[in-house]
Amino acid sequence: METVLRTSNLKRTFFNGNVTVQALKGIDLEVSEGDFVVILGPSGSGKSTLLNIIGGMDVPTDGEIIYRGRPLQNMSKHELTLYRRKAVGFIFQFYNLMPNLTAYENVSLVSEITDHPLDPLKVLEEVGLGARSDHFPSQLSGGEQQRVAIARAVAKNPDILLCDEPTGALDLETGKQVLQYLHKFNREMKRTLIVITHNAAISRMADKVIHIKDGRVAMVEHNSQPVTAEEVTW
Amino acid sequence: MLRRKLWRDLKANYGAYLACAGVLVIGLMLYVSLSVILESLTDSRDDYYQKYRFGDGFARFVQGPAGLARDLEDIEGIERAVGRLVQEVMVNNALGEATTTVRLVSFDSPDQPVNRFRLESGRIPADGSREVLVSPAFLKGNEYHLGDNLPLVILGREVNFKISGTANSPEYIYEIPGGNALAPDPKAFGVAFVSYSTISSLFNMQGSVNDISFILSQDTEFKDVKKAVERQLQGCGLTGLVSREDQLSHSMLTQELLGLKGSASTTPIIFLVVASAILYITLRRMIEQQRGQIGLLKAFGFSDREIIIHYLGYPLIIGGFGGFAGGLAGSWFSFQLAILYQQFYNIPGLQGKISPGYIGAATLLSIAFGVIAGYQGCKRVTKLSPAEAMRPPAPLAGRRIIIEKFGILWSNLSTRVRMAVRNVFRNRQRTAIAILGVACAFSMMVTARGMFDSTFYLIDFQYNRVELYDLKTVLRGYADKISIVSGAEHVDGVAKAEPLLEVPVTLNYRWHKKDTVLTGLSDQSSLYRLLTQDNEHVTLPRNGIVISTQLAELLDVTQGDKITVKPMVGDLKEQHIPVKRIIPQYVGMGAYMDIDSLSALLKSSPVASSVMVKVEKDKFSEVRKQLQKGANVAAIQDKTKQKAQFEDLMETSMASQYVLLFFSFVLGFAIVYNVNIISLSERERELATLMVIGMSEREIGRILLIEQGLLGSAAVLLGIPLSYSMLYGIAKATATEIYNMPMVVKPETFAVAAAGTVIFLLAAHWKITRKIKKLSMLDVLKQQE
Repeated sequence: METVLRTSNLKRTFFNGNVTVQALKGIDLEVSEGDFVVILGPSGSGKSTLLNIIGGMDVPTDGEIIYRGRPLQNMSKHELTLYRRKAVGFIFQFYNLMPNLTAYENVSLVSEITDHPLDPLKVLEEVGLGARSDHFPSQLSGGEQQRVAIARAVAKNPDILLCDEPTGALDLETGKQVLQYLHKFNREMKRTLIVITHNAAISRMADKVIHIKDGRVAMVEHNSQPVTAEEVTW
Repeated sequence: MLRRKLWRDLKANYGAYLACAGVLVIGLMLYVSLSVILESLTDSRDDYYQKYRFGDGFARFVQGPAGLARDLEDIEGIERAVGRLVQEVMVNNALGEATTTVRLVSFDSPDQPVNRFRLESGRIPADGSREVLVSPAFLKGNEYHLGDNLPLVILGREVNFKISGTANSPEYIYEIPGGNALAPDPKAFGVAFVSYSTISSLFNMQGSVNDISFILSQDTEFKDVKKAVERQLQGCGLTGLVSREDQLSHSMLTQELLGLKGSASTTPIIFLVVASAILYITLRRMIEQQRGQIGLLKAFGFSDREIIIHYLGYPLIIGGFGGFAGGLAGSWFSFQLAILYQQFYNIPGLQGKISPGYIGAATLLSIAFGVIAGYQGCKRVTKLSPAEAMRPPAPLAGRRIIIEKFGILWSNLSTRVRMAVRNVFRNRQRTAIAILGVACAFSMMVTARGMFDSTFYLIDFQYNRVELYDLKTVLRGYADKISIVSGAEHVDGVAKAEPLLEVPVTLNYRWHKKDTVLTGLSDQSSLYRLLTQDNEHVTLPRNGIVISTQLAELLDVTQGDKITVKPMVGDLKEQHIPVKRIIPQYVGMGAYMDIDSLSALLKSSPVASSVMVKVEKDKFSEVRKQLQKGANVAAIQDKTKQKAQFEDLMETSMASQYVLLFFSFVLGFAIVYNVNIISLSERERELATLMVIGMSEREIGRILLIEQGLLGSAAVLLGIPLSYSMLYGIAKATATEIYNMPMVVKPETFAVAAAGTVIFLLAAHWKITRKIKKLSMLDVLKQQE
């Protein structure tokens, strides 16, 4: 499998007045095409910082991050925008939908700015929201909103789907449902899925689990027999 | 501790508060400066009138014995009366051309009981000497100096006078000759005071007067004595009898004062209201953002009152600062305004001042507006329970808007445009305030320029379409029409000559009554044309009268009604004449008749009082010289000069337009900027999300720009009728018998105002995009909704 993303000795230091915080102290990892990768770590471990850098929202202070041969750390603001636009689909803990756009419009918003988008309505049908496509976020439950968010990320037809605690705000059943859709995307469309979480249960579904602790990779697990979403519980 | 929070909050949002304070400063600066000038003008006028015994009634007639004044004093209600000789003569300039008219006003003694003059410099002419006092404006405008010669053309021959000093009089605060002159022009007209014995001998009128002004005793009104005065002056050829209200200078000044009063009370209100609206929405938003803090404060045991007082600190500081700064700026501006007014009004004592009273009033006004708006903005604090306040507010519920019902239109819009459109409708109250504010700014820009459009239209209408002559020879009295016209026609260089007959009359219709001038024109008059609304030439009917719209309104007549016409000259009977046509007119309250019919009304063969002349190219100077030789020529009016002078005056006062444009700009910018800041703060998270999903700052900026565009378009649409109503109000407020402003707004004016609106929208947008650039995706996304 081709390597989609690779980091080496990735460091990120925050300077806050007189205080210097080293959030990442040299991260080395590799993600292959079509992988389901879970980045697992307690809060404060640096996993959010890592997600931000992988997502092209932040740049490292030192080290390398290579996306399909192109170093992200050297990219201009504009190139990073294009990277976010074309390569990455984001899913957030709190959905971050546009409150004054309907479900359908939230999805088509991204399809309007990408080159090879999927049909917004089809994607919404795939996450089981075809009938609710003209509802506004405030008219949808949390799980439904997160499914709209998944549809929005998927409709861009991105290379990587990047999820930040996607089930963090949901109850178990709804959370499992969401994971199911993410899994489907990963398996059926053969797209790379990176989930950042502190919820260890999710890691049972992954091909590869990267444990982050105190700004470093503590351990990398390969899972030869990942389970389905139905089998997960927490 | 709360005080420290207040200062920090102010600092954190200084842009919004500064914009708001800016609007307050402008509004109160206008309020203070206009009020100070209004007060100073009124006070100086009253003082001047009283000290120099300005008359309550003014009579002009052809000739009467000097003893008439004493006879008038016998009328009950008339306290004092003074008879004078008033004669208009021309000044010969170095080239021998008479381009300037001087009104010689006689005096018996400098402390006569009515209409004294105020000596400004030099000395009073000795009795019987060939010395004059001229107005300081006249001296300066014509570059004369004390002791200079003033060559006057009296009864066809040149008489040299010496300028012995300068003087002003309450009668000529606004120094214009009347007729169609709207603004003082010292090069064309001035007033001069000469001793009675000098003028009476020069005009062979010893023992006679042609002008009496009188002061009424207390509790007497002009109308109480009018009849008696008319009776007394019977046989003297009364040409005009007006009260102080209708005295030219006084009525012009009164009109100006009314206009000032209107401006002083309305313009600042617009600014105050906009500033209050800004404060209101800013505070409301701040309270929403700080609900967590408010909950905490409440939980700590702060009372609602204490918290509200804390939040009222913001409008208090901003209002206090804006009011005080505005008051100081207004004081400074009042000095500038005084200088401007001194150019038009010869009035002693007119000056700007630093008025603690008005500065205090401005500060209080500003604080009051601020606190009321602020209270409205933050009273919701009390409704929050501590626990509730600490929870985040309910997230925005998206909803459909009315435009979506137009399915085809809506479905063709891209999602980004839809988002922009819905955003405009997101907070309706705020959007409404923004649209209103921008519409106000737009209309103020239109009004600022529209007033000039209207005035230039008036100039063009009057001087290029109605009055087509070049020179007008005004005669002393009436002359045989045919001989005077043919005399003028025989002057080399005269292309065409036409007669004009002006007769002071009293018009009556039912209980409505109006003294005016009835103008006789030849039926095929081509040098003075009467035009309809559609610029069609009106031919004067043989038997009938044509009157202006204003006069028709005043008399409440319509076409076909018969009005009563009574000439004030001689003892002529009144006649009933049908109104044949009503025409628009912007200068004067005109009434027109066929010249021969009008002469017949005077029981006379066809006569004329003026000759209008069209001059061949390059022959102006010669024609003038020839025309002024006529013994009975009182004045020669140069229309081209009048027009140019009027246009010059307009050009110079155009500067005021830019000041207003600038103020409107600040107003518009302040409101849009604040509304943008607030909606940005509400939407930080959404905008950051857009960035994260791959939109560039530019694309996000474009969405916001669409919103600005929608807002601006709505404001302009609303602003157009608003502009017209503002202009209508101004036209109504400034309409006088002397002129009334047409309502004409050129398309360019709308274009300029729209451009101004676009520029301040873009300026505000630019400030916002800079804020977007600073927006951190990370910080924003970390927070929970």
